[in-house]
Amino acid sequence: MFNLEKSIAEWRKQMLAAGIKSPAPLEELEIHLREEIDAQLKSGKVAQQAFEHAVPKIGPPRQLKSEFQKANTPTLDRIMSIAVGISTVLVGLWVIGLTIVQGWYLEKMAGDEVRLMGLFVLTFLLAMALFILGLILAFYGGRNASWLPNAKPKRTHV
Amino acid sequence: MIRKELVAASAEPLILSLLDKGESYGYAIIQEIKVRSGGKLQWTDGMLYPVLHRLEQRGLIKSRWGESETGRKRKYYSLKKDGKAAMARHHEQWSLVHSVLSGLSKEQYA
Repeated sequence: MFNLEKSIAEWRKQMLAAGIKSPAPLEELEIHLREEIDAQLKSGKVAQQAFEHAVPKIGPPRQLKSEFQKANTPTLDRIMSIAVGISTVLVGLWVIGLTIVQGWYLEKMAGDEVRLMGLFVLTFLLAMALFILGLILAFYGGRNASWLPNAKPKRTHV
Repeated sequence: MIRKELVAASAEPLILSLLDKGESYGYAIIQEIKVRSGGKLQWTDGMLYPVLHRLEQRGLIKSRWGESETGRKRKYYSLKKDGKAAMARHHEQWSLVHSVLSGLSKEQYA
């Protein structure tokens, strides 16, 4: 004897086995399956026919898993933005470090202290500017990557 | 039959345009597409949801859990301000393509 709830539970197991593990997508897909089954029952089909008609409409589990994975993966734009931001912060920190080391040798270096001081200040300002820029890029890039030109949109399968 | 590349390309503008008419949920979106296209736009029902999730991640739509008339849980989607802007851009681009094709078609049969 056909048992609809048992069949739906079996369908869920198959989806989980195919890799749709995240609860939210699976719940939505099950709700959709049930809505389609209800529509088929209203049209006069018996439970087994309704279930067998509804399941293929949801789509192949592996393809669904692949599409959901694409949806959950950060876009290349955002990854690039965060990478640029972090790199800039690291460069800034490196230059700040160099500046501090320069400062230690200022007393020991003979010659033009004014020029050395100027170089010290310039290096320090450049480092601070890079550091702040890197923080802004890392923060903004993580939220919105639209600043990158020619970003390719993800291919959609429906 | 409509080429699958065209079906895929039109998914986002269609979803945004439908949600511009008001809040809706996955099953209703699929049914409306079927009715409006006379059954010619064949979507795999389940594939709608990754598209909805991507649109939500991009900040174009938002969702909330509600209940259907029968008391079953249902996720409703609605258009956000950025989604409206994206929809307008899509309309502009599709209108351009349509006007060029129409113009060429008229020339061919003139």
